[in-house]
Amino acid sequence: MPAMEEHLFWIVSRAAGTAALLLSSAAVAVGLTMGGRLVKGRGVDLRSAHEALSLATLIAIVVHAVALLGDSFLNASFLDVTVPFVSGYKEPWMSIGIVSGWGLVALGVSYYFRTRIGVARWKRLHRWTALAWVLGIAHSLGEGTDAGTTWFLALTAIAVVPALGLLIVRHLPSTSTPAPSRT
Amino acid sequence: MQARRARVRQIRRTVTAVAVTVFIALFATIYIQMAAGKDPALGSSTTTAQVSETSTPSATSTSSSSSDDSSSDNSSSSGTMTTSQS
Repeated sequence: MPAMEEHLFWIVSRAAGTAALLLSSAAVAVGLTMGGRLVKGRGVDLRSAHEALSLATLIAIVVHAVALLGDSFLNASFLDVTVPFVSGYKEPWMSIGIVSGWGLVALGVSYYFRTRIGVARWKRLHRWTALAWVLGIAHSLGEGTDAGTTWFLALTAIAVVPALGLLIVRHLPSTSTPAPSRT
Repeated sequence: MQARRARVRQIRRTVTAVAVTVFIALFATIYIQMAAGKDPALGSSTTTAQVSETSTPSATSTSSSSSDDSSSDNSSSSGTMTTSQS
C-alpha cells in the first residue's frame, strides 16, 4: 500500500479537477437550456442553478490548482500552475488547462460586471465560456491521471454528452423555413 | 418576492450540497483506488517496499505500469522503491 499521506494533495487536486469538469458541464447544460428557452417558466430557478453551479466550478478550479502547490512530487510553483508553458509538464495539456481555467474564471466573474461591460457585449463575451469548457475537457482527457479509468470516462460521458448535444443544437443553423407570405 | 428568495436560497443550498458530495465521493474513490494498489499512475501490481542493503541489483527491479510519467517519481520521492516482487 502506498504511503497515502504523501499523496493527499495530489488526490485533492485530482478530485477537485474532476468535480470542476462535472460541475462546469452541468453549468453549461443549464446555461444552454436557459439561453435556448428550452424550459418554459423556470427562468429564475435555472438562472440561480446556473450561477450556483458556475461558482462551485470556480471554487473547484481554484482548489484543483492550489492543491498542486502542495504536491511533493510535482513541486510546482505559483507560476507553474497559473501561467501557460512555464512548467513544461505534460505540454500542451497543462497549458490548455491553465488557459481554460483562466477563461472560466474571467468569463464567470464578468457576470458581476455586466452592467459596466454592457449587457449586449457581455452576452457576446459569455458565449466564449463554451470554448473554455471544451478546453477543460481536452485538458482532463489529455492530462488527467484518471482519464483512462472506466469510472472517470463514464462520469465524463454522463456529464459532458448532454451539454455537448445542447451546444451543437444551439449552433446548428436554423432549419425553420419562413412562412409563405400572403398575397 | 419572499417566496422567490427562499427558492433561490434553496437552489444554492442544494447545489452546494451536491458539489461537496461529489468532491467527497471523488476523493474517496481515488483514495480507495490508490490504497488498493489500483491507481492508474502508481501501478496495479506494485508493492512498496524498503530496499534492503543486502538486495542485489539484479533481484530488485523498478517497474511502472503507467503511461503517466509521474508514477515512478511519485514513488521515489517517498524514499522507497517500487518493486515488482514481494
